[in-house]
Amino acid sequence: MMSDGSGHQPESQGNLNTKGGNAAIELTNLVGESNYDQDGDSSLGNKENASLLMSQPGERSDGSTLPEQLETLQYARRLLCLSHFFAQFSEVSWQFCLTIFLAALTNYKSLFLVSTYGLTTGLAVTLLGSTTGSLVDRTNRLVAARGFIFAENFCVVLATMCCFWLLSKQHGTFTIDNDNNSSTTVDGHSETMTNLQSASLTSFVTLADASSVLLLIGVHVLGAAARVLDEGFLVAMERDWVVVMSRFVTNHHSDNDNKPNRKTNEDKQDEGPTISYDSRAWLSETNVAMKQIDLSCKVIAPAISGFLIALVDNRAAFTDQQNDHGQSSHASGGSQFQYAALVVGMINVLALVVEYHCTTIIYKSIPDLAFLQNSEDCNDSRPDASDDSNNQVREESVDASVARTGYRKYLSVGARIYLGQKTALAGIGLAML
Amino acid sequence: MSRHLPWGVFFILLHTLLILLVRYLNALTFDAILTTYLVWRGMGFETIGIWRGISSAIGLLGTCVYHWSVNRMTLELTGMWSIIYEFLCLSLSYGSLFVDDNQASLIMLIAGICASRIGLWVYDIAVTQMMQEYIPDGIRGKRFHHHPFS
Repeated sequence: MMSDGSGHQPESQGNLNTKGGNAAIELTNLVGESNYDQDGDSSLGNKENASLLMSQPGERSDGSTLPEQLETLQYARRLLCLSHFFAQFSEVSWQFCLTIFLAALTNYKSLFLVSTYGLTTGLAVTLLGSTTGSLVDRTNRLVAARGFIFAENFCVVLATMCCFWLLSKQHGTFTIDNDNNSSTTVDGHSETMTNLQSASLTSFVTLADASSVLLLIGVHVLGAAARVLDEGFLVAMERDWVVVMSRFVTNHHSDNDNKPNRKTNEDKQDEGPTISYDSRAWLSETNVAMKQIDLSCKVIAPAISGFLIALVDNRAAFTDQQNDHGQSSHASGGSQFQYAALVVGMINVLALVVEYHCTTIIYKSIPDLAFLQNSEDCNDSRPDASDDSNNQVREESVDASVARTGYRKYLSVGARIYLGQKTALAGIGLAML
Repeated sequence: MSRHLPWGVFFILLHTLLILLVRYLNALTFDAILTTYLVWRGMGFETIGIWRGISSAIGLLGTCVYHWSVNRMTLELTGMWSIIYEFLCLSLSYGSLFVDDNQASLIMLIAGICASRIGLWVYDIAVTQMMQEYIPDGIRGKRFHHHPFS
């Protein structure tokens, strides 16, 4: 916690200094504002301030008007959508292509590799998902996001290289086999068939040498790591950044100061459009946009990747046909998938660049993202019984979420936090669908 | 503490089992299992592909429906109607098991699944937004996990 705070503060300071010149937002005011952003309970020494709550009346930054802030917000949302598109597209196409590569490595004879890969990633996500989530909570947002982007895409690129190696190796053995076939098998359909079968068998066996096994393990581990990191990045962006961004204008505009406190209202289940400027509408619009990107990518990315693979595959078949007679290309798997693997790797490199720049720009244009609230802070740093209902509500929710009562004492801390939330049942219902 | 270890393991196992059951026993999506089932029922690959595309398009429509709905009623109400609607649609799919006519049965099954996509995504976004609004900052990452369905 201490290291987080000390590592986090210079980052935000440096960011503010660099931003000061060209931003539409008055940032120096924000630095002052952040100190009593916590509704009085955070002292000046408190290293991390939440942007969750509304600012005090009169803390208005005079440099930026509401339209400017809204414009900044819209710009940030566009960048967020762009980043999300690249993230989703690269992830979906990678997953799709990897399945095909793994099937091709067994020459479409076995689903063994596909199922082991599925098992590995599933286990990794189940076991490490919570750890990644708490990492998102504890770390400075930009550092976490950059780390996720770098690590994930690096893993994927390494894994595509492993795939490239494996596939070209496999293709090499196939071409040797084909040469043998064409030289030994003079004619006769049945003889060709048996030879083809033996070729597929030997290909599976030759794959089982030490370096191939090592590469396959590498693909499994890297793929699982990339999947976990991708989940972490998605959670960070979709669930955390978006919420902070939605409250950005509310936090910094005085027109809303007269309106009832947003958090209190929600906890009383009081629904209404007058809570804030229209942060809920903004939030739902953003959610809809991101979900649309999700769904379109699920359709588009496999289609494009499949088209790409078919393109490479056809060319391979064509060259094989020129060398050999027709069906040998089909028998050899006909695939020069290794170049498709390279293309997927390049897509991921492109996604890395785009996501990195987008997140950096968003982080700089929305200064609230620099302030972080720890769950430990929720528990520890509120010794005084504050008159503000916010704190009490927050304390209650966190206390309830970690209370070891009843059957919950058998669960892990993460599960207790999960069940302590109001939306737990709805979330479980969603997960069951 | 070690006394509780078997119980903890038990809960983890139960949890995993539950997730797996729920994950693989539903035929909500046009996933591998449903595709296999439809092929087994004698459906062509082209038809399956076309319906898969249609169900994706309907899923995209669901996001627009959510937008329309949340502007007119509360988030909770949106979530409620969407999940009930989805339940009704899937009941239609379930009812297709008791129809003797193969063609009619398949139509019922697929229509139910395609129509339920709207409810699924509306519910998904509604719950996501509820989580975003109600959960305090510090525990958000721990609290969220990505939903398993595709």
